Amino acid sequence: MALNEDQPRLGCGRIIDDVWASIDQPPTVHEQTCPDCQSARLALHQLEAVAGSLRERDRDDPALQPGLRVKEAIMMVARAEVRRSRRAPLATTALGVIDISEQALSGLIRFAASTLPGVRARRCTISSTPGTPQSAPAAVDAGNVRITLTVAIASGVRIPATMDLLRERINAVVQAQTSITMQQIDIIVEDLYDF
Amino acid sequence: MTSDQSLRASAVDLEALADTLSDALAAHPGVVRLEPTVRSVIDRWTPAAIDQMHRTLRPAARPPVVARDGLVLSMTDLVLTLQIDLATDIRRSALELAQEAQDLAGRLVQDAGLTIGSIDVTILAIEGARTP
Repeated sequence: MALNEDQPRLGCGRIIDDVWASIDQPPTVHEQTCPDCQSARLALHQLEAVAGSLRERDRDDPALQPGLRVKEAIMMVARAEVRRSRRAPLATTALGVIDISEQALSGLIRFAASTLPGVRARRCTISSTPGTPQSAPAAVDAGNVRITLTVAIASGVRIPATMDLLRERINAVVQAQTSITMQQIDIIVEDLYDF
Repeated sequence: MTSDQSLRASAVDLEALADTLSDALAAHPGVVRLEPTVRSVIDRWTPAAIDQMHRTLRPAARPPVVARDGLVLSMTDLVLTLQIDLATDIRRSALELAQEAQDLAGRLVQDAGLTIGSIDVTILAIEGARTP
């Protein structure tokens, strides 16, 4: 029993949709010799040209462009999806689990660092394993959070004393916000800037 | 009531509960916003007729799921599972705020006469407060 009996076929037995699906490809061996397919391809080429022309016109039609609200909604989702990264569990209550995304934690650390005069936070990587940033584990171990933070500092700032203050500030802010106590805070001063 | 009618009724109840949760959590002091999901945005754009069609076509055994920005509600046998995704104000403890959000959601779910399976809260961002 033949399948797709409800779909129009060419004289050679091929379904027209199959010819259409490969209209942008060079003709197959069969199509090179089959008059039905050659005729169909010629007709479909014209249709493809018209369809392509309509697509191009729609692309530039101001009435068909997404509005600002739509674009903003898409960007809001995109940013939120980025934030849905690895998570660190903070508490388990009678109702369920409370956790924080790695992105949120990283942003908090950079914010905490930037509250110190003369310090500009740059990259922050979070790890639960000494020495190496985590590559892909599903969750951050909240009981064993180790970070590496790169910063630029103002020239003239005393680096050792500032690093001590920076560690205290990061630990205090993260503790107050999340109850996480950092196990290790590595800081790399990678740049100096002028006031 | 047939199982299909029951399913549809519970889906309608979830829609109302999702709106209540969304309004209450968004208004809670310290919550900067409920973070949007792909599903919540698509649901917002989907016309009601198409939404109804999806609901009709959904297999009867599949539990109803309703999404709003920062909220995903799913229900099986009148037991509700809720995921909340928050952005919080840095002037408040994020953990305390998440617990408050969890408690608030728990009360509203119970007020709706549903049993709580779990209410999980994820802090997706900690930010400065909105400026009026």
